[in-house]
Parts: sequence; C-alpha cells; structure tokens
Amino acid sequence: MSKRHEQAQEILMHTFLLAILTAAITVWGLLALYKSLALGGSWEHFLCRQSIWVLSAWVIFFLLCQVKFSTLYKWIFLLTGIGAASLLFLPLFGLQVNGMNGWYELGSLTVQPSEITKALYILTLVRIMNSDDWSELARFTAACAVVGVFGILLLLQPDLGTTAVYLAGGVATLYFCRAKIKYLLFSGAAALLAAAAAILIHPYMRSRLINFFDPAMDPAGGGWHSRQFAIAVARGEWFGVKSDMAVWSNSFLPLSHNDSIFAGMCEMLGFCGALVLLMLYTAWFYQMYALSYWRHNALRRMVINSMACMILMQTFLHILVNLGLLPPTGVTLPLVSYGGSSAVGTMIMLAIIISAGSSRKPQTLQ
Amino acid sequence: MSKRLKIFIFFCLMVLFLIVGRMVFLASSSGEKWRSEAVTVSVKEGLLSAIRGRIFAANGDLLVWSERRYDLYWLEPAADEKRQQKILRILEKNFAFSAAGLNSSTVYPIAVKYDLTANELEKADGLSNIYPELAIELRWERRNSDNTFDPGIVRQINNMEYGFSGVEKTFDAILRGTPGKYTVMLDRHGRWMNSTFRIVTPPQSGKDVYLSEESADRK
Repeated sequence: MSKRHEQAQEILMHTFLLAILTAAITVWGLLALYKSLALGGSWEHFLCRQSIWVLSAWVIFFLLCQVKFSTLYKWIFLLTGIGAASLLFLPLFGLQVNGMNGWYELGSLTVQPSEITKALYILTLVRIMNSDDWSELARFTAACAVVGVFGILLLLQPDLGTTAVYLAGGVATLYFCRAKIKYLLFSGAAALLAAAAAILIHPYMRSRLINFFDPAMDPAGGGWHSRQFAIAVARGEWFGVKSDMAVWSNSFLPLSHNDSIFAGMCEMLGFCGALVLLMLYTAWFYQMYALSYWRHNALRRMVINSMACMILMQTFLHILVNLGLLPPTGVTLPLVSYGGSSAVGTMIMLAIIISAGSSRKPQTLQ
Repeated sequence: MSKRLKIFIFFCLMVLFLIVGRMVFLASSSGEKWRSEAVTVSVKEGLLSAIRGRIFAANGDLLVWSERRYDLYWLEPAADEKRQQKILRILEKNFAFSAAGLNSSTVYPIAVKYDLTANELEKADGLSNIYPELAIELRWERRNSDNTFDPGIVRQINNMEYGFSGVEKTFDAILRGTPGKYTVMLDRHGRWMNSTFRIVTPPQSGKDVYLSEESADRK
C-alpha cells in the first residue's frame, strides 16, 4: 500500500470515528438535558427546542463539509468582519438575558453570535499568523489585536465565560501557529496585569474571586454557586443517586441544563458515569488530533489543532468551573449543554476541522 | 508529532488528572462534609398520622370514627407586595377568602379555608406548588352518626389524635395507633419534591374497640 493511500485511509477512518463520537456526545447531551429537567416537569419544551437545534446543527455541519477549505480561508477576513460587527451591535439591538446582552432575537429564535464567530476568530488568527507579507512581530501584534478586539466586544456584553474561552483558544492558536515563546510569555504577563486591573476596578469581579477562595464567607450570595457545585458532585458519589432523587441537578444548581450540566451529571451518574463522558470526550479530541497527524500540510494542521483546542478549552473551562476548581462563570459544555447557538458553533468548528482534514486533491508528503 | 503538540498534550493530561482527582476527592469520604450539608439543607422528616380506631357498640353498630379533612393555610407573607396582592386575589377568587383584617401586623399562618372540597383541594394543590407560601394541612376529624361529637373529646396534637375524656381516653392507647415516619427532599424554594417522598416507617392504624354494655354506659 502506498503512503498516500494509507494516509487517505487513515483520514477517512478518523473522520468517520469523529462523526460517530460527535453523534454519541450529542445523544448523551439530549439525555442529560432530559434528566436535569425531568423532576421540574418543564423538560418537553427544552428537549424539543434542543432537538431541533441539534438537527439544524447537523445539517449546517454537512453543508459546511461540502465547502472547500481554501474557499473559506480566502473569504475569512470578510466573514470575520461581519461576525465582529454582529458582536459590536449587540449592546444596541441585542436581547438581555440574565444581565447579559448576548443574543439577537429572530422571531421565536434567539441566536448568540459569539458562539458562531468562534470558528471565524480562530481561522482569522491562523491566517494572520501564516501571512507571508508581514514580519513575525507584525503578525503576532496583529493577531493579539484581533484577540483584544474580540475580548473587548465580549466584555461589553458582558460575558466573562465566553471571553475566557476566546482568550484561551486565542493563546492556544498562537502557540500552534509557532508564535515565539517569548512573545507569548510577554503577552501572557500583559493579560495577567490587565486581569488584575479589571479585578481591582470591578467590585463584582473581586467579590467573585474572594468567594471562590472562601465560599463559606457568603454562602447565600457569592459563594452559592461553588457550594452547590461541590454538593452536587459529592452527592453522586461513585454511581450516582436514583434519578427521582436528583434534587440538586433539578433544583439547586443554577441553569442545571446549561452552565451546570456537568455537576448535574456527576450527581445523576456519579464518578463512574462522569468518567465515561470524560473518556468519550478524550476519544473525540484524540480523533481531531489524529486527523491533524495524518494531514501533512502545515497550515491545515494548524487549523485542525487550533479549532480542536478552542473546543477543548471550552470543555475544560466548563468542567473545571463545575468541579469548583475555577471561579464560577457561564460556559456551556460542547454538544451536551442546552443551547442552540453553542451546538451550531461547535458543529461549524467540527466541519472546518473535517474540511481542513480531508483532501479532494492528492497530497504531496512533506 | 511536533514538540509543541507534545507539550500541549502533556498540559491536557495534567488538567485531566486534576479533574479526575477532584472527582475522586468529592465522591469519596472526603465529600462527606458536602453530603451532610445537602441533608441539612434539603431533607425534611415528618410524622405520618395513624388512623384512630373506630368504636363499635356492643351490638356491632358503628358509633365513632375518624374522617380525613384538608385545610388550606397561608404560612407566611410573600416576599414582595406585588406577589402578596397576587396571592390575595387568587385566594379571594377561588376560596372566598376575605382580605379584611389583613395588615402588616397580621400573625401568620392564617387559615384560608377549612375542610376543602375535592375541587378546592385540587386547586389548592396546584397553587401550593406555585406558591410555597400556601400549604395544605391534613386533619383528622372525629365523627359520630348523628354529628354531635364534641371536638374537645379528641384533640389533634402533632398529627396524632389523643382522647381526652370518656371512652376515648380510657381506650386511647388502643385507639391511637403508632405514627409513621417519612422523609422528603425540598427544592431550593423549600417546596416538596414529590418524587423524593419516602415512607421510612409506615403508620400503624389504631385498633377498633367493641364496647360491652358496661363500658357503653360509661360513655
């Protein structure tokens, strides 16, 4: 068997496995959504909406897989410009939910543009970092400017959770695009200083941090979330509580079908059930990185690694917050949490990963 | 595999170990502190009343028995005035409750309606699920065939009926029965989560008493 044929076979196999695992996680998500709302009695509405969103996300995924990666790459600046504009106009025309101006209302639908623009943001960073016309420092500065612009647009909503995901994903993208380590360290130090300044300026950020380290200080206020997360996970023990006793995931956890779904699953399924989900995610990410391993084109590898990293960072953030290892912030668990925009955004990134991984023309091995 | 990817994978594995470690910590005996806090916050224990035994005449006629009655109570004022007015309107409309005399010094709980009918009970059940300020209380009422039973003879204390005079007092230990015990979990608003209701010890009904001619004379 020739190397080229072997490569094509491997890519096909990993693409297939990636799709299967994606479907498995999606189904898991729908079941988790049902379980986290079943006792409250409002599950039909949410499950019906989420099923429609998931189906739409799969349709978008199949359509985007048909688009050539090179076409998308060519138009990325224009698409990102439109995406950034949609974020810019949110404070004026957006819908406010839970004190955050992060959604557009389109009839009975609400769309969160920051979820959709994730893929465009990453692709823009990769394109800037691979621009041959600029010096290395200029490329890095321009990429940091893009990260900064998106960060500010998200903070205007204000959406701290998504800002953290964009920052982590942005740094990982720069890392995979071979940015110099000293540049990364320097910008990391600058970001830390900016974060420290923000904590000093905004009292609610400061109190959130203080309550994270000492939830007992204000158990009914700022420490509420951290305590509920810990109780939910502890209640699940090794094998979970009976489904009709899952009181924390059905009542105490804030947004148990969305931002707290992992803690809710820990209560319902226990350590062993949550571990199965972690293994499913590990296999899922492994397939993404395996695709990049068999793709011998440096640019496409960067795209696959960076996109995968963006999804991975979001997954880590959600789980770490739900286990009380990071201060509480609203981040969805990809393909599991309730939220149509989040499901569509993740499927767009997956479509780009598969599109960048597949080859319609024979590839030359480097 | 590039060196950067290797470093990244190492970082991811570290985070994964951290996650699994934290999950093990909370699932194991170290999470006991949180589990006991959950019990304190959400588990409610209560007594299930036992049905008081019936009293029969020497010739076998039924003389006295207990019947279930349901009353609706307003336990505490609502958190804000808007909600208070809303509850008031609902009670006025559905239970002919009068707001006269309600003011800031009113002492709660207030009895909204005694002896709910089947329709009223259904309405009250729905309302108490929406408004935790409202609660339905079960009460046992001692009856006799000609409706002349003096309520002072048998009184309800902590869900149990106690006989205070006559035959009811004499045979109280036999008639009273043994109360059961239940546990239920409350949601964050303090409402019962019906699926979590468990009977720990079922109540033992009181035994029936058949009077002899002599004891009937005493009654």
